[in-house]
Amino acid sequence: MTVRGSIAWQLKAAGILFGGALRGTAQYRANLFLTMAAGALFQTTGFLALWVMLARFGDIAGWTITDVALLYGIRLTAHGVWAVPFNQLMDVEHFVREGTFDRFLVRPVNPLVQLMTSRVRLNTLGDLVAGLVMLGVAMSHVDVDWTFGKLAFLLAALLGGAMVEGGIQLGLSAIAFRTLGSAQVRFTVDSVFNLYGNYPGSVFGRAGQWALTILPVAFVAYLPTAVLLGRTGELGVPRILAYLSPLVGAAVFAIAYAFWRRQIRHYQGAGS
Amino acid sequence: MTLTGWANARWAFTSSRVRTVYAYRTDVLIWLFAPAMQVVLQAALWRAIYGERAIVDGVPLAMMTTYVSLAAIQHLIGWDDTTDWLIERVRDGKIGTDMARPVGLLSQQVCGQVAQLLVKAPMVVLLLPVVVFVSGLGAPAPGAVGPYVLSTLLGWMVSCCLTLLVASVAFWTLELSGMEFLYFVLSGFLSGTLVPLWVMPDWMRVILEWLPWQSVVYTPVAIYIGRFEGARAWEAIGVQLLWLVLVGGLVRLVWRRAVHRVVVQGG
Amino acid sequence: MPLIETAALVKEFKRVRRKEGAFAGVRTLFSRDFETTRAVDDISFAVEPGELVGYLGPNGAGKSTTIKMLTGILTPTSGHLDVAGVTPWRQRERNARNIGVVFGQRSQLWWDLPLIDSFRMIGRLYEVPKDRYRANLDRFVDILGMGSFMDTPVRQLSLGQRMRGDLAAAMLYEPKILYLDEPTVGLDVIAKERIREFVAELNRDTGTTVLLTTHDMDDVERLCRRLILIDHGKVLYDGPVAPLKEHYAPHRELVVQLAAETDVVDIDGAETVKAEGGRVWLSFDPRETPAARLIAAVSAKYEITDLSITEPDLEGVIRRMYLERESR
Repeated sequence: MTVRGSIAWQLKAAGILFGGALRGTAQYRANLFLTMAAGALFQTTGFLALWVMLARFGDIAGWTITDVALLYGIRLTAHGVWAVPFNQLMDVEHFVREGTFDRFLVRPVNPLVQLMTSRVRLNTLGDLVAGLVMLGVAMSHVDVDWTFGKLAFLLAALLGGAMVEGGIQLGLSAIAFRTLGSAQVRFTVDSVFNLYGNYPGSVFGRAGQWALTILPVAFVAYLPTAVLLGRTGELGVPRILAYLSPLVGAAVFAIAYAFWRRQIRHYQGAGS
Repeated sequence: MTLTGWANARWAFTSSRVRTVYAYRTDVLIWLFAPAMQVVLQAALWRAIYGERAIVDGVPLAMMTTYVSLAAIQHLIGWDDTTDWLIERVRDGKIGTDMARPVGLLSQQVCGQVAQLLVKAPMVVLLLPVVVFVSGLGAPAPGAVGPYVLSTLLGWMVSCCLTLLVASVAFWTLELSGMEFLYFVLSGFLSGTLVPLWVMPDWMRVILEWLPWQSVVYTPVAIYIGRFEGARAWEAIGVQLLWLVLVGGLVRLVWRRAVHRVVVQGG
Repeated sequence: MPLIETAALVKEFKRVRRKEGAFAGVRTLFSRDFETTRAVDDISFAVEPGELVGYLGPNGAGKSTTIKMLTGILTPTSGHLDVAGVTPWRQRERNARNIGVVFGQRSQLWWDLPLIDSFRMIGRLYEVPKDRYRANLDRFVDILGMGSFMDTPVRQLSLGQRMRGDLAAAMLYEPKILYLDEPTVGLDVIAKERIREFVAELNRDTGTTVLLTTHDMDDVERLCRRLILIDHGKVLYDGPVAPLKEHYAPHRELVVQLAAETDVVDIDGAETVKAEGGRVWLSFDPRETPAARLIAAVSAKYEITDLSITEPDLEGVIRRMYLERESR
């Protein structure tokens, strides 16, 4: 028996619940490949455009195509790392509005874990696979000596980036408990991350870099990539921020999770 | 049926769809935020990529920012929710009710597309300050306005036909939710919205030139900035017309089969 | 020591007032204009282990809101709440292991899975030892008569079958407390009876404490020894069923069938309410006129062919009580 309330217990419970969701989902195998391919295609169209531009122009703000590919790969992988397990967050409004969130609150498992495992929706797996492929190809082409330290920093940066994006989305989802719609806001913020997270911050000038650092899109990929490529000299923000980016992710996620837990108290159920 | 009767029935559908779309105007407004960000991003990317260079391929930076700004708007106008709407109707079985109406199913979709244009086009105008002052939309090339307007209209019609073609997939499989958005992003590349065709490597340019999507965005915007001038512009408009006939015919064919399928198998 | 304890419990709901007119959605989003309603207003009660309590009140009285606070779904606005030594909304997961919950309107089962799979998942989520799981399941399948639909997906079950499934799922892990929110609503007589049987047996044999909200007074009469009546978020009555009836409906009715047709039966301590075709309804207060003495008095004067005594039903009692309160 696992210690109740522990992380080990939550993982075990997640396994039980996900198993149930998997058995309840018909036809998921047939569509898995199709939806994955669609997700990957969606995520990489921006890179395709950039590749075409750089094939003609050579570099963007001093970044070559392999440099940008590393950045893009880190962003997309980080996105996949949070989006695969947290994909179900998009349903939170539905559960709150219908009052079906009730059941998550009367079971001996963290409500967030139950929400995450409430349905199988693996379309974001395509994002993760595309990210990993792009990251792998970029890593073998880019002019970086992959020492143990750099690999460790890369790993930390990927987790940190996932937590930045995941934390922001989790925090925004929590608004749903106040009976306000958060889907539009989340969609908008997601598109900012999708659009602006994939390019070197130096493209947007000093003010743009500061804005993206505060938002904090820049911590997902630009700042850590600048560290890996040894480009911290060009940053428009203090260098130390770039080195700290993995920690920023942990902090953002911790704050977001605390906010989520507080907002659950405002859940009103359906009817009275 | 008389001509006025024909027109009245269609107008009734269009105006009812206008009301439906208008009911979600707040969503549409919030939804405009993402394209606004997209335009600003595209312009910033092109400024950065031009760097010190003044003219590349005979295109100065100001012309390039005009291109991407206008292209983004043209592409946005072509966005519509026919696919998701159709998937929902087929899934709920309401498509049977739709088919019992005095106006054909395909005509209803076209009315819906007109309705969306009527609501969204004025809203897209809200983006004008962004594209003029932030991303840098410049004035049209001399003498380009007439052909540009005509070309935009044709481009929108080709876009509608392509959407109807994509949407008709709903009759065969319903497992493609979210495809509408994917199609929007993909068509952004295929239509030259993200990168104009002249920047592309030759092999890619040739492929896209033989696909219908360049008619939707690239042709009108290239006319606007003066890349297609005089006879070249009219030639491009001719190609648009050709695509309209071709894709339009294909839509009729596919929809006839789709409707037949629904009649045979039930909604 | 009480198992459930609430003191001065209050729950207010805040709802954003929706804006009208242009850009209503956006303006509502940024609005600070709230409507506050008090669904539960200063409720205090204590339930001892092993009790079976009916928690009653008209629609919107605050029944479900109270239960949702007890289960940890809602966070109280103020007041004290203790369920088996746990503050539900603060320690949800610990509370969840102590309680079983059945909401009549909403299933806790896995919609797309066969019923048996829901039971298996519950067994694993609550870490029920294998032998206990087996024993409980066998017993429940037997009492609730679920054998024929164990392999049917929950979404295909009838309401009655689903409710039985929900009830079994809520009790598989032997919680100390069972909350039932309208468990018999919309069910046929047989299904209702099965469920009442099950609840009564659980309470009797395993000492499970039960808190029941219902609109069906038969549920209450069959099951509850104690009632808590609430209205407008406040407790109106808390105590045994019998004194309530005595206070609000002290009179019994004696219905006699007489051999000869009579308009008025003249007996001390009883009043003729109605008479038709030899059947006479007599109202009396058993504290003053015991039933046996009344029957003896009537049969001394008239020839009786049949008789019966009717108790006032709870529904009438409660209706009277609320009416009295409204008119005050």
